[in-house]
Amino acid sequence: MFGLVEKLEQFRDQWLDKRMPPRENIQLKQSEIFILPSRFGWIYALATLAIFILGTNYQNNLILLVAYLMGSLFLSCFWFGFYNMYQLKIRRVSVADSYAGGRAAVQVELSTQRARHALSCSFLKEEDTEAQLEGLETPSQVSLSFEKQERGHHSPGRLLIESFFPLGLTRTWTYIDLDIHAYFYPAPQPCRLVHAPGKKYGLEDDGISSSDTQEQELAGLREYKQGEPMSRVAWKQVAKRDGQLLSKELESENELSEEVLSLDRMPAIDLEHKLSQFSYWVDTLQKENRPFHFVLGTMKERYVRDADTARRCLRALATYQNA
Amino acid sequence: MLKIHQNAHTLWGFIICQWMVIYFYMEPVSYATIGLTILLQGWAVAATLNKCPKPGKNFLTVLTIVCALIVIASNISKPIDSFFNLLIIGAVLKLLTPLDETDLKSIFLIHLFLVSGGYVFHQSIGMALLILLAFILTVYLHLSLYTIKSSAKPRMKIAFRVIFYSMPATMLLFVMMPRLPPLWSMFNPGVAKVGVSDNMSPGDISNIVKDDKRVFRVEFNGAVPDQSQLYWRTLILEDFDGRRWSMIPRGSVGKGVEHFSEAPKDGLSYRVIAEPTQQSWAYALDAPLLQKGEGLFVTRHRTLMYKKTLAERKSYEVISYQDPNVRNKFIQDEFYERNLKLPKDYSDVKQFTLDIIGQEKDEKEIINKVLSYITKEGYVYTIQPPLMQDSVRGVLFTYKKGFCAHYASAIAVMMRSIGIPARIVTGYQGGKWNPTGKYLDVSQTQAHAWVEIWSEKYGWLHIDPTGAIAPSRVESSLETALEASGELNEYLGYSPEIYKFTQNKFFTTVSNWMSSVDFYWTAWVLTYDDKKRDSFLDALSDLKNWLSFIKYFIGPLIIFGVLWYAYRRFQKNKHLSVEEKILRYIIHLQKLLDTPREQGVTLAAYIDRLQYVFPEFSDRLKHLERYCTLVLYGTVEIQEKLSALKQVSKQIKALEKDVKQLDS
Repeated sequence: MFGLVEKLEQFRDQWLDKRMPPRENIQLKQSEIFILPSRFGWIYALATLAIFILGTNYQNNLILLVAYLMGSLFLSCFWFGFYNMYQLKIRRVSVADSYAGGRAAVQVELSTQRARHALSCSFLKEEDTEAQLEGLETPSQVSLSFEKQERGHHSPGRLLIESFFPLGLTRTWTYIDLDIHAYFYPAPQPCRLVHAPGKKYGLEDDGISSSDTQEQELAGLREYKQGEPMSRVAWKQVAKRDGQLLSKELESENELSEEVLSLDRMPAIDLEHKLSQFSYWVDTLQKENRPFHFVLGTMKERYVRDADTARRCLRALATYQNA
Repeated sequence: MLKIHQNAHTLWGFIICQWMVIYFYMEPVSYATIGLTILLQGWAVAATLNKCPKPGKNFLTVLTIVCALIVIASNISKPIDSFFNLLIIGAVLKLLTPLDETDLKSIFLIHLFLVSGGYVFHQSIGMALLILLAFILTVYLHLSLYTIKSSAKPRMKIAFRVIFYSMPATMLLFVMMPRLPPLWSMFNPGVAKVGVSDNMSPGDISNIVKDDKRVFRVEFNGAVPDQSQLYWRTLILEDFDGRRWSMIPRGSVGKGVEHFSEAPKDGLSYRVIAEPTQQSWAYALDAPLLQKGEGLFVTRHRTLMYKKTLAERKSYEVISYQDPNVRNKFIQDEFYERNLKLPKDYSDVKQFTLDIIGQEKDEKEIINKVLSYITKEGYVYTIQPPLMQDSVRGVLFTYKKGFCAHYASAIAVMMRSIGIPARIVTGYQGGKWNPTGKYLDVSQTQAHAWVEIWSEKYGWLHIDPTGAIAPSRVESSLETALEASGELNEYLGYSPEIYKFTQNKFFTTVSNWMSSVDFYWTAWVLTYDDKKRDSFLDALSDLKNWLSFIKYFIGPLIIFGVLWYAYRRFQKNKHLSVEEKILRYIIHLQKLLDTPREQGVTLAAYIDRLQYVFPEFSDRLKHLERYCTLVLYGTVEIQEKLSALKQVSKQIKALEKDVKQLDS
């Protein structure tokens, strides 16, 4: 049974992919709108039948007329429901990246030339997010989000836009693919970097050497930040200050103290944890505004300081596959 | 699901709708229901205004049970009534729920059912429209769930549009769908009994005629017979107990034998549309042959009868053969022993009768002699006869006064006393002709009674003593007859001057027109059936009808459509600002001179360039530029701008002329 449902869903997805391929901007066409009676619609149909029988039994033309009016009303609902969706424009505005286990925010814009009523947006395969629009007159943005547990470049699948306008008797809906994809960075995991002086962490060919802290002049002390190499700790001060760790601030720190971040420097054993730790470090250094060098597989970035590059690094972590 | 506008607006709408329903169901609704409705609605309103809380779920259940018990108890003897009352209370109780989507949906369905059930009790045009209004209100209220605005107007617009769009399909279904026979029999709604009853004491008819309720209407195919020919036979009363005449039991009336093959083609053909009476007899002129009419049959007495009682308006078609020679051929209607029976000794009446008729044996002559005797002897036709213990002797000997039934009864007894079989016929005589609707309107006022006697030679013969005493009753109307006898005032209950005033042309035209509308409503909507559908479809296939349809319907529709379109355009232009209007002119100018205006080129720069390109129009263009600038940038009153705009249009028109001249 379960297998059958899955097969049917697979079949539907294939059919939809052929019928409505992914686009960033969509104006709904006739072939993209589906309408069927809603559950309430079926109940209403039964009520209409009851009134029809009432009219037949009384041989009362006026009651029959009402029954016919109710039936025709049902038909009109299909018409009105269809036009409520027809030519609706939907545009993907933005998709924000997130961390694995977090939610990626998606902004979608609905715009129209005439008033629309009672629209609701959600992802077909992600049930926990829904946005309601009582109506639409001017372009308006809808915020949705979806969750993924694994890192990577994920899509929430098709967007489901549905409406029960005008009387709730019909369900008008469409599944559209706005080509929404979000990067889910590895979930950050705090750790210390493996520090091996003299080792070049894969940057040798570029002629960048890891800074050798021992050769620097002491410029001052500051609070220890988690993750700084142990060699930075001013051990002499620890005793004086009830165990509070202080770091030695070295001269020409800004130029010379860039960390080289690479998989080798992450203490975890398996790749996923290493990537999580990597993600943590990229994040932390970026937040502290400390430039760093980034080495992952064949990707090398020197002096990463701006947010864009850092995002590129995180995205690389999200999609990294161990060769 | 969607957020609900749970506003007072919707609640008031529901309350109005429920009171409309209570009004439709006046008949079965009990006082307990009305009281509970007021209480519960008051609670719902107070809760919406935050004056008190709504009942909790459990309490609401208890409340529902209590209300149901009260309603059932107050309608204990009438299960159908208590069903309607329960439905109404159910709808009212729903107002106390949280009014979420499910609640609103069930309110919608209950209201729809209640509103359409209103047609069981009411079928007049006015009420039909009122019920339709309640229907639209119900749809409108349900729309609140699925539309943007919490304000009423746009939603009302949608409701009307949805219903308007549904109309063509509704009409098509109504016209085309075959009518099914009832699936099971239903209770009869409480419609009062109307019309003559199955027994009569002479005073009864004078009471009936005081009621001017309509009984039936008739459409004739062809010429309308003379008023004095219109004896609508309804009931034959054969048993006399000294006071009352009554019908033999219904079951023993029996079906008349109809020999259709022997019936000639040239009878009087007409259609009767009968009002509901809760009785089982129908109306027809003598010797009816049923053409169309379900549930009807011709009785042995040459009257029409329903197999069941008449609970709604019904129409049937009949051909009548007034010629006695013809009618006796196809309906066997002979006399029986009971047509001679008298309950007591009437030898004085017998002597009286014999004195009048002498040795005459021919029944027709006997009739003539009796009628001329009562005419000669100054018998009086009155709607208020004196109270009589023995109406036969009272009328004949003591008072010489009576109403139609008194004379009919007296004549029948006279005939029986001398051994001629006689029976009383009750029904209606005459009718008011409605020239607007081209139909005859027969009301209770036309109720009448007369006599039939049996003759070996002629069959059953018709005698109407009233025709001899007060000819105007038979030839014209009861009012005329009473006016002649000076009794109109008593009969009407108001001054005859007012009666005369209401008989003037204007009033009769208006009332004829109004009852014609009602007649067509009945003929085409209430009694539309498969037969009418067939004839309608036949008519559709006739090209001539299509032509007249186009002439009278499509043509005006097109004219109306064009006018409407023009009006809409006018409205659209009216709302344009002066700037937008200027732009329209400029676009026109661009086309005229075939010179496009590029993006970003200002109006002034554009017209400058035009002057350069078309030096021959430079004067006009200069004017144009000045006016355009004034309209667009002038710091002047709007009136001045408008007049400048007029100048712009004038200049462009002149330019158009110049261009055309140049081209040719």
